[in-house]
Amino acid sequence: MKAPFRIVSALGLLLALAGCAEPPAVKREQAPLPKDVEIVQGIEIGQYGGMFILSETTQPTTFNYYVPSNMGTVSILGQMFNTLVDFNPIKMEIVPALAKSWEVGEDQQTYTFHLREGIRWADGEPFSADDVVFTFGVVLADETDPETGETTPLYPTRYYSELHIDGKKIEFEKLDDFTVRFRTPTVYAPFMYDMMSVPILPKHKLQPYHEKRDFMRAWTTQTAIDTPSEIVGTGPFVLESYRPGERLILTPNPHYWKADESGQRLPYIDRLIYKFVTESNTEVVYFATGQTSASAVGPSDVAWVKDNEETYDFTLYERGLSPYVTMIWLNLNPGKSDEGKPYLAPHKLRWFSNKLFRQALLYAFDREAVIDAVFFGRGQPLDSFVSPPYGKWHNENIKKYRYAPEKARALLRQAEFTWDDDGRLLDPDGKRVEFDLMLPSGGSWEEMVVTFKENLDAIGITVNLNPVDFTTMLRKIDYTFDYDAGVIGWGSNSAAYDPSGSKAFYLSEGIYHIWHPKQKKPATEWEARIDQLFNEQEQILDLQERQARMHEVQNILAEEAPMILLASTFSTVGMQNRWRNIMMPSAGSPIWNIEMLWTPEPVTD
Amino acid sequence: MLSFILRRLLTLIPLLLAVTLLASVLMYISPGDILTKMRAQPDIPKETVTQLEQSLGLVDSEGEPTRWYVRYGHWLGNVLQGDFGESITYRIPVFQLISQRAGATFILSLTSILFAWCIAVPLGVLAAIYKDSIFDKISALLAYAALSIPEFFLAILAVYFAAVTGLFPVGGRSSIGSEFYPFAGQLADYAYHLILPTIVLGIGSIAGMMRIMRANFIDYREQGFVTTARAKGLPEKVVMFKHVLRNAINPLISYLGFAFSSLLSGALLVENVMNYPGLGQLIYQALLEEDEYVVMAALMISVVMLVIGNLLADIALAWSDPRIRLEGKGGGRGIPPLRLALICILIVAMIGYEIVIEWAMPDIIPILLAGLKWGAIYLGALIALGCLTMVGYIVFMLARKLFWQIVRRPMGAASLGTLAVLYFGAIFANFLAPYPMNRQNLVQSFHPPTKIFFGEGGLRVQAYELEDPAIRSYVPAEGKSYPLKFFVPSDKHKLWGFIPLEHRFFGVDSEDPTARVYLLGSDSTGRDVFSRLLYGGQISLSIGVIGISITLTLGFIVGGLAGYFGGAFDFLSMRVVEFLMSIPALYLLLALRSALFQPGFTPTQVYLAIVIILSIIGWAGAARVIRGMSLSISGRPFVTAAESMGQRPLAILGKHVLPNLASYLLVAATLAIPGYILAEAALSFLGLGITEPSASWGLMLQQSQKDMKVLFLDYWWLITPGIAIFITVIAFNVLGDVLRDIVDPKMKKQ
Repeated sequence: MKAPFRIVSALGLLLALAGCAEPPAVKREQAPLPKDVEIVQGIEIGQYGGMFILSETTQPTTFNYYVPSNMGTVSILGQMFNTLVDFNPIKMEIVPALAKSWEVGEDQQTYTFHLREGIRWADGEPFSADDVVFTFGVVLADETDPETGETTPLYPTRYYSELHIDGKKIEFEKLDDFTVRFRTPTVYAPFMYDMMSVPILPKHKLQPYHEKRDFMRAWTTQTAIDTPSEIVGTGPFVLESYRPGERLILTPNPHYWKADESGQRLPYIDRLIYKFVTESNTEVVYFATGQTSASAVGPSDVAWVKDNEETYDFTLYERGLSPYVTMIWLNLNPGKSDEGKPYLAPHKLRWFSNKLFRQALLYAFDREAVIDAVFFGRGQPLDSFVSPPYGKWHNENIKKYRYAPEKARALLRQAEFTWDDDGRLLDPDGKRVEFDLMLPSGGSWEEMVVTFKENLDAIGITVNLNPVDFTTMLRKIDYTFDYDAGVIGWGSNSAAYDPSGSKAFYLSEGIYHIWHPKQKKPATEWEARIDQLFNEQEQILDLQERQARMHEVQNILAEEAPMILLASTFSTVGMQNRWRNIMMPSAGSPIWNIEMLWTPEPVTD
Repeated sequence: MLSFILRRLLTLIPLLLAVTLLASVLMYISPGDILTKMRAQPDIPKETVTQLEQSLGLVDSEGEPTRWYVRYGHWLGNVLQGDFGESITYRIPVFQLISQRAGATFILSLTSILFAWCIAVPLGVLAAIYKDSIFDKISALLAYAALSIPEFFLAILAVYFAAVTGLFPVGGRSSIGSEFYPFAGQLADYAYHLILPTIVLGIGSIAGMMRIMRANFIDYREQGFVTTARAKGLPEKVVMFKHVLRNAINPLISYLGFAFSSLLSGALLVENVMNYPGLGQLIYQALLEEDEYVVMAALMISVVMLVIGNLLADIALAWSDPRIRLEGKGGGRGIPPLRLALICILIVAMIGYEIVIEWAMPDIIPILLAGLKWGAIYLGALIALGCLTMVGYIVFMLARKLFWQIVRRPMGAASLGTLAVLYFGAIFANFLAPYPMNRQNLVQSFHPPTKIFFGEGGLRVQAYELEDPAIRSYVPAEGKSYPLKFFVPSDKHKLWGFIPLEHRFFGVDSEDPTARVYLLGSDSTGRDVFSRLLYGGQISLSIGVIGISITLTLGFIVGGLAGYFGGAFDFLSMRVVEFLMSIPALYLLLALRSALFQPGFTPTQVYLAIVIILSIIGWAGAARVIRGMSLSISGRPFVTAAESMGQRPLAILGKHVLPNLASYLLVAATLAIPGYILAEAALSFLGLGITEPSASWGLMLQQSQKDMKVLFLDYWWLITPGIAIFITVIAFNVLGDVLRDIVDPKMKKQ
């Protein structure tokens, strides 16, 4: 019965503690700046100190970048490691990182990277071309079975195949300690984009694991808990401590290779803290009550979070549309299963493969109303698979479908559909139009889909919602093909875009050509045309030429309407006003320049 | 003493075997595996996934999925060598992973129990001392409230409270700078973060404990030794606290053991909503992602915790009550070693049998399982119907007898009336609701309740205009209103699927399709919350009734037979019961759910599946209690008489035992229904139960919680489903108590 007293006394102690809530400042070692230091131009010169607090919904599952993981892991590791080149989301161009410069050979297939000299890993060991060669060596390591002659990667990751072009490896060699040359098997335009996604790891730490073929067990979460200093990178931060489920603290890397114009080594902030939360609700509450420094704010949360702007001294930055794409698609696969059963009932295939029918669905769907009702008007219907934030890749002038039920009816009439006495739609053979729509449970597009169902109901089409778990849905998309229609979300929130990332989607032979994957040869003329355009753009290095071809691809997709794109919401990001040097990109991470952020008031009360 | 403890710990072995076996089978049946997520990522090539499948042992060398018993055997072999496997997501040994989290959950459970005790014991004692006073009544009311509020709903409110007042941290376990505090500071910081989760988690068990405490205290106060003590001239304080309290507290101590298991379930929800980094979060993720070894290890830990909790409770009981001897029958949950060995052999033999079958006919199991799943669901529906009839018959029989007695008590009349209104609303939803369940009105999303006033010769509904689209706020449109009419014509629909209706009870009479009457506002797509509450009630309210019917019937058959026959059947069935009760309910629920749910379930099938899952979990407790009662009844003379007249056992059970149990069954049913309503709500709240386009109160609450705007923009009408759940549960609890008082005043203390 002493507990109430204990709680009371604990509370008292807490009040006493309220004054000393701030962790001590980090002592900066004055290691000399590297020879090829990057002096960041045009920023306000700041002072050291302060904690920058972020919330994160996914726990890191590993600290080894090449172990398959999740978005949270990738964004945290992004603060600790560097790639050869970077993407600047403000200038929208590729900028130097570990490589200070590069040149493309005459044949358009060789790329020579000149590395920065004098960079050190966070533990003080020097960085050199050996590390680059080691990293690519690990990612591309494979073995050939002497009996079957089959080659399998030693460490199965997505990067292994990403660095293969037409089944052939990208070649790489060390020319000297600070020069590395790559060679692609054919002319391959997206190569530089691939270079942005392969962080360089330290050979001196990881070689022993690789020798034991145990690379995937290097740098687990346990390493991070027990010996955080073992995990060394070249990025702006190093790991200070990790408490699973609670938080992860990063401190400045004493050997980081960027400095400001006064010669102060970046980053300015003393600590970058990731707080782990279980759901995005809590994330928003944290930010709106001043407990985190920056956060994305959902479209319908903006209004009430804005009310707190003054109290907690932050600003909500309205950015453009989110690059994330969600869509409903119809199954257009005319194939049959091994037992000779068609994947899709023939009469449904007849409806779906009729372009007029597909267009009618788009006209019948009131996407704007949902955006107003659910997202409080903060969004717009998507017209192209390549969404507006991708800048010049996006095609503005394509066919746009807006709610017009009478147009939908006209199109259906044109396709010889009729209506019965109850107002239900009948196909030319007199069959009622009714299909199932599978949606993965727990998706955020629920209201959209429910409205789709209601809207189609209004023009006489019955849609049955069929919640399935994600696995089942994927099995249906990939193997069994026995479904009518589905809903799926696609893409990332990164600002860097290159269509090569979605190759398997555009090409008719691709496994993610979602409405009819793995075609032996293009089933329709328009798919053949897309194949041709896409392959062409991959072999041209000129950006404008490539974009022109992708515009045409978008035109075809808009006209043929194999998918019903839903809506894209405006992305809003909040950031505390005490931070300086904020440069808000229109898409992607709002703290892409975290090393430049500083605050005149490092200690809060 | 030592041999007792050893024997107790020995029972862990078959229990652990069975739990892991069950987990392994369930994970195998459920669609998908650990690589599901990875397959979903468009940028990860198929070959990578295939290769991972092989290296993780999900498929054998020919690419066929590995049979579950192979994997289980493999796992068991490793466990015997002390290796519990590796988490596939985190790539570290599971015990390392669990030990990262277990401490937090353990401490939270401990503080919640402590909190519950500190509130429940004094309140219970005071309520007993001042029996029938205002204080007693108020504390009883508060206890009902605490018992009836869904844990997750309370957790949400707590988060909101913390965010708005800033008095408490919004989740987490420690402050950001805590690593740099002095030790005492860290401790205080931790305690500060524990306050809210402790209260939320602990509040549910207060009510039950308080009632036990009160009833016991009253009981013991009238005992002879108290009179003796008073006669000796001891001061009243000493009598109360030294003599009565010490006796009355015993049941609470034995309750302590089981509290751990139920707290683990509760912790899963609370940890998720309140962002407390414990085992619950981890297990929830692992179950969803099918990180098999983590699930198995976590289940093992929870079972060990339960057994040890019970053990400690028994030891504490022996210490507090010298009359109880551990070796004797009093602590009789230990199993004799011979039977223990028998069970182990049985389980091993079952595994062996399975393996032989699969080896002989490789494809039979999946086919059997598929058949079983569908069979189970349709058979389940049939059984449910049968059970419903039986229980309905009993209720009807008793109700005639009891109805006037209930109505004569104000509490009884109030609760019965409330329930009658709720069920009436749900049954006639198609007629009473002004709109169909999913009728959208996108231009009026998040509309507040409409004002209704009298004017122009009738009731009129105020019209509103959108004031600020950014926060969806509405203002009354000056001078614009629609007439509210009763028995308005509507589009054709059917009541109960077969009575055609062309009218609805009330609605607005207007040409404007967007003119609506919203008694309780509208949701994110402008659907009428009041209508949805009525329709949702059909699911939420019926699930309890059907679930409890199945549970009681099953429990009666198993428990009744076990109590009547005794012997081997009794022994086996009670072990199964204990086994089921030893798994935290919510874990079992989630595991069963992933195993039973088939893609492409229609809403009806989802509904049936949920009922079946809830019943599978629920019958064990009922069977245990019924066994005890049937044991005592079967010793009574009239049963012996029937036996000697040559009646068959089943007839005796039906004709003699059942009627004597009937009133108990009724009380138990009334008190158990809330559990089902809350479980459905929790499941739907987690997004794992009822889904669109159906509606249930749990789902509606979950939809309203998608973001915090509901609370911060004061869309209060969207949390009415939570209030509906709360009212229903309270009504059932009150009614159950009233019934208990009527049926058996002595039963009060149970």
